Amino acid sequence: MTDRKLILGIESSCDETAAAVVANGRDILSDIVASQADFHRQFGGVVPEIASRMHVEAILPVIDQALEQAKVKLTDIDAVAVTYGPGLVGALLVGLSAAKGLAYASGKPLVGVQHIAGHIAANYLADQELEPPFLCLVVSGAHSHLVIVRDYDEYEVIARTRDDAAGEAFDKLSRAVGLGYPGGPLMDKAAIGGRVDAFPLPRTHFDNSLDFSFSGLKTAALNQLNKLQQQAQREQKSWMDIISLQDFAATYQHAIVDVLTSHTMEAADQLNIKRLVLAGGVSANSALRRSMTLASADRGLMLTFPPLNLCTDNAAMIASAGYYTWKKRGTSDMSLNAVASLEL
Amino acid sequence: MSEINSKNNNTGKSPHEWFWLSESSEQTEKFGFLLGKLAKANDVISLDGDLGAGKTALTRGIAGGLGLTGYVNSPTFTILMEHRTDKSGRMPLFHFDAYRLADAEAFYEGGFDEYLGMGGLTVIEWGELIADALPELTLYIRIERTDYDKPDQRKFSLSWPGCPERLTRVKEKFEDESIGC
Repeated sequence: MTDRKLILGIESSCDETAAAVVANGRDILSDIVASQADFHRQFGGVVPEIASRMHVEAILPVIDQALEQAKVKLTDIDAVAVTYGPGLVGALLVGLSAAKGLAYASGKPLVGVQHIAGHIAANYLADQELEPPFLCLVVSGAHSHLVIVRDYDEYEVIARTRDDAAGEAFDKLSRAVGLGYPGGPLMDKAAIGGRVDAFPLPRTHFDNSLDFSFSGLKTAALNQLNKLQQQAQREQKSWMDIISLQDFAATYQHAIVDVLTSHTMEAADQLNIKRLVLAGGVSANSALRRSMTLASADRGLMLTFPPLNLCTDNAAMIASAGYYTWKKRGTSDMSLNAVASLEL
Repeated sequence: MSEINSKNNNTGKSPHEWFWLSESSEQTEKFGFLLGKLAKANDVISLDGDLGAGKTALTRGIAGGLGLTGYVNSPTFTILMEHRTDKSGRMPLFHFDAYRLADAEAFYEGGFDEYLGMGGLTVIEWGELIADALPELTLYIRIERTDYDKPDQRKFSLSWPGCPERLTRVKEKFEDESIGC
C-alpha cells in the first residue's frame, strides 16, 4: 500500500469548480463538480467577474466534499494538483490560492497542471490499459489541438487552430440561431436526425499543415443564416420554414466534425500511429464520436474517448495529470502563478 | 477595386472618419499588418463589428506587423490572449475580447486596465462594450458587412479622435502601399 499515492486535484479555470481524489493517476475515489453553466446560460456565456465570485463560494465546500466522499483526510493526501492555466486568470486564481493554502498548511507538495494535459489524462481514468505513445485530438471551447503524447507528461503539439476553437464555433452559431449557451450540447441535440447537406459550407485545409481553421466555416454559416432571414422576411415567415433548425444545425455540425476527423486521420496516417484518443468538452459531441469511431474502424486504429462526465472540466483529470507530472518533473514552487495563455 | 473616401465633412459623429472597402480577409490582414507596423507602445485599438466580421483576422495581420510570429487565436474564451516578445516581435500584443465583459467596471475589476500602460499594443474586440474604460487616444475601427451577395466584402470605418494626424498617416501609408487595390 505504500506505493499508493493519493492526489487531491483542484480545477477552476472556467465555469466549473471541481475537486477530486485520485489514486496513482488511475482510480477515482471522488470527483465533485459544481457547475455554473446554468447560471451563465442567461448571459450567453461565462461572465468572468461572476465566475470568480462563484468559484470563491464553491471552492472550499467542493474540496471538503471530495475528501469526504473519498473517505480520506487532508493528511492522507500525498500531493495537491491544481490547474494554473490556460483559462480566465480570476477564475484560475481561486483554485490556485486554495491549493497553495492547503499544501502549505498540510506540508504537502503542490503540483501545477496545464489544463489541456488534464483533458488528455481523462483518458487514463477512462481506459486503465492506455499508455503513451498515442495521438490525441483535444477539442474544447478554447482548444483544437492535435497532440502526440510521446510519454507521460511529454507532449508535441502538431496542429492547432489558427482562429476559433471548435467549441467556440459551436457556441457562436448556437447563439446566432437562438439556441443559446453552451452551444455544443444544444446544437448536438438540435441536429439529431437532420440533413447534413442542407447548404454548402467550406472546409479549410492548409498546405503542409494539419492546422485547423473554423472561422471561414463560421462566417459562411452566418452569411447563410442572414440570407435565410432576409428571404424569410420578404416572404413573411420564419427562416426555419426554409431550412429547419434541425437541418441547419446538422449541416453545420457535420462540417466541423468532418474537418476534425479528416485532419486527425491524416495525422494518424502520416505518423503511422495506431492508438488514438479524444479529449475535451467537444469530445462529448455525439456526431464527432460516431465519425471518429467509424474512421478509426476503417483504418484499424484503436480509439478511446472519456465518458461524458470526464470530457467536460473536472478535477479527477487534473489529479491524474498531476500524478504523472509529479512523478516526472517533481513539485511546483509556492510562487506558482496563474497563466491565462499557458501553452501545453 | 476598393474605394477610399475621405469623409472629413459629412459625418456628424466624428470630424475625421475614414472609410474603405476590403474585398477579402487577405486584404483585411494586409491592412492589419500596416497597422501593426505603424503602432507605437501603449497604443489602443478598439474593434467593433458583428460575429464573423473579421476582427480576429485583422488582429492576426496586426500581430504580423509587430513581427510576432505566434498563432493569433480568438480570445473569446480567455478574454485576453497575451502575445509576448519572447521569441519574436518588437512589442507585445494584448488581444482582448470584451464580449463577455458586461461593462467598463468589469474591465477594471478584472485588472485588465493594467495592460494598457505596459508598453504593448492593446487590441480590444467589442471595445464599444467597455467604451468608458478606453483611453482618450484610442483608434476606433468598425468592420461591417456590406451586402450579403458579397459575402467577403467589409466596410472599414476608422476614427482616431485623439490623434487625427496619426489616422492621416495610416491613410497615406495605405495609399503608398496600394493596400486598397
